[in-house]
Amino acid sequence: MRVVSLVIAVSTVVGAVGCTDEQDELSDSSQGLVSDNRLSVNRLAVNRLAVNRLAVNRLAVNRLAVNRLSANLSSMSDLLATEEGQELLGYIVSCALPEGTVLEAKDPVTGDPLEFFGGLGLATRWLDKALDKKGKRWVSACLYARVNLHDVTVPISMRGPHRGLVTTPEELTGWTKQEGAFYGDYFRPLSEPIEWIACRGKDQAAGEAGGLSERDCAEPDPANPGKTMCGFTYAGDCGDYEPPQSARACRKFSQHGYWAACRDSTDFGASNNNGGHGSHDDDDDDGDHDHDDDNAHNHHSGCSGRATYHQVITTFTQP
Amino acid sequence: MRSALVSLLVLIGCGQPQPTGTDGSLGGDGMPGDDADVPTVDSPPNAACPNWCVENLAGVTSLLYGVAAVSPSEAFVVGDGGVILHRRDNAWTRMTSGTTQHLRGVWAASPTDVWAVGHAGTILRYNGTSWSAVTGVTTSDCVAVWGSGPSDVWVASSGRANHWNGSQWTYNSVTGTLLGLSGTGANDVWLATENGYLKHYTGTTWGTVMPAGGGAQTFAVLALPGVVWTGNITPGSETLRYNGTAWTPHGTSSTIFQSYFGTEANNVWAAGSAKVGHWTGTTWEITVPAGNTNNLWGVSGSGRDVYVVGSGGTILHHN
Repeated sequence: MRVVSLVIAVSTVVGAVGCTDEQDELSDSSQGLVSDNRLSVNRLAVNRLAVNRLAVNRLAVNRLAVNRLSANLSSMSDLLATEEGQELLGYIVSCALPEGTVLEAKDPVTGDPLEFFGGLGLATRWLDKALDKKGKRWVSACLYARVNLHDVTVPISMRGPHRGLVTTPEELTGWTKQEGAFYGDYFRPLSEPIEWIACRGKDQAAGEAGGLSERDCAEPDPANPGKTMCGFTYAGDCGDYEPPQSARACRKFSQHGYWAACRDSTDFGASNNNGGHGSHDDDDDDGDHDHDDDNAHNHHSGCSGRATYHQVITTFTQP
Repeated sequence: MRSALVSLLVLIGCGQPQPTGTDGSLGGDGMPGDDADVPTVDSPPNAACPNWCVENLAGVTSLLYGVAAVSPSEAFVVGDGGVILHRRDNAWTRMTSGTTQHLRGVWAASPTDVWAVGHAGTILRYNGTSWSAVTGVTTSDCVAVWGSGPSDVWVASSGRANHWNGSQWTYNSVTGTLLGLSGTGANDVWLATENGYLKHYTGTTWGTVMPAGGGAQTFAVLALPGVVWTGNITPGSETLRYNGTAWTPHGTSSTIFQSYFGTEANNVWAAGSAKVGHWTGTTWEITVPAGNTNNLWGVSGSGRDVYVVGSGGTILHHN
């Protein structure tokens, strides 16, 4: 595997990535590598599937540093200052940057070299400019999907309308237990609460089995109404699994096998001809395949005024 | 003294009388020193469950994550809530761990020198009589422990590989979420990580090893003389075997192993999801032991005896 190295001098205050020619070149190279690697079909390990061991509390603990990271990488030193911060940074880089990209740094205490490896490439342009709104939401969804309440490593398939999440036939047939969908914005201003939302997938709603038994972040917490077991905002069922129940959190279940256009509550009405999922559109969702621009994609329903999230990651486990 | 450690005792229903005395296996009164002579005789075949015996301890339903066998008939198990279980004399007992933290790793230098590690910097050491806390090493979550001897012990915690040389602790910073430890000697130690590929220590520093055909998620690792096993999530190459020259993928029919155990190249056991794998030189034989439906997290053994532990208090014994 070729590795593109972006050296970040920890001892130096570093501005936004992409502000130098060198960094621009690295970004171009990494984009090329993404295509090469994708053609190799060696993607599932890092681009389609991921494992989840991120302790949920670390998201909250490290929020300040992450929030700063999105605006100014100088505060990466905050994350590097602690082991937990370094671990979280590993997840962020894995979610945001493509395979073949490596961020290198040094531990500020020991001086040991640190490497942060790209994986999914959900916000590749973060290498070149500040993380945009769409990128924030993709990285957020990825982080949330990888949280595990039990601190164990459960293999998951992450699916959504992004080329970094495209599935293979093997993945579709091997990971069939639909856990739920994750979305929101981890990078909200510090004056606002973290926006982390999950809706319950069809198989999670049917009861835990197989790989779902140690996956609880899309499961409602009976002791904390409105929240999931991981403390996320519980949006309800992603789809109307048991008609005539009509409420569902997501507008549609894509033909590609993931939930799309979701809200923070069961805001959508009864679906038509949905087979117990949600409306099943044959279009290419919102055309969001890696158009990593600044389009907010944060539509507001004329009915409710609630935000609709299009950067949604649906997770599946093995039976 | 031993009785003070035992809070719950259940005889193994399907067990057979334990060989004692002259053959060097366990026996005696359980006092420190009796265990020093590690038996090498396998447990006798069990007609009641000739393949896998379920040895769950009544009243223990915790997630059991790690197991270390010190002889064919003796093993230590750790898990959620500070649970430590001890098998000897054909019975599992619950030991007093002195902690309620989730424990994630256990390794035994001998029956009278056992290490267990877990959340919030928990490091425990058993001297054959009782467990005591080892403090001042780290406050981060510890996930694995392995050593080549009593004076060469590694503890993997968030972002760190901590080393005990018999008199003091030192550490190296290691990126990635650390998942597993294994080695063949003081200068050949391997770390499995999430987001960081494999890490290899050769005597001075930890370097990154990227197995061909694998991704940044390596789940578990087993190092044997001349052979290294690790795993990822790519269909058809869920395990990767290094023979000292090259990595070779070996499929497992989509089973993702969380733990490996072996003492020789062509007799390797692995556990993951609800299944157990056995490598005898050419392919993985995958089985669902004793109708198990729980996720399995740890495997260890001695001689012909193999122990597997998992969620829901699952303890499986093969002999």
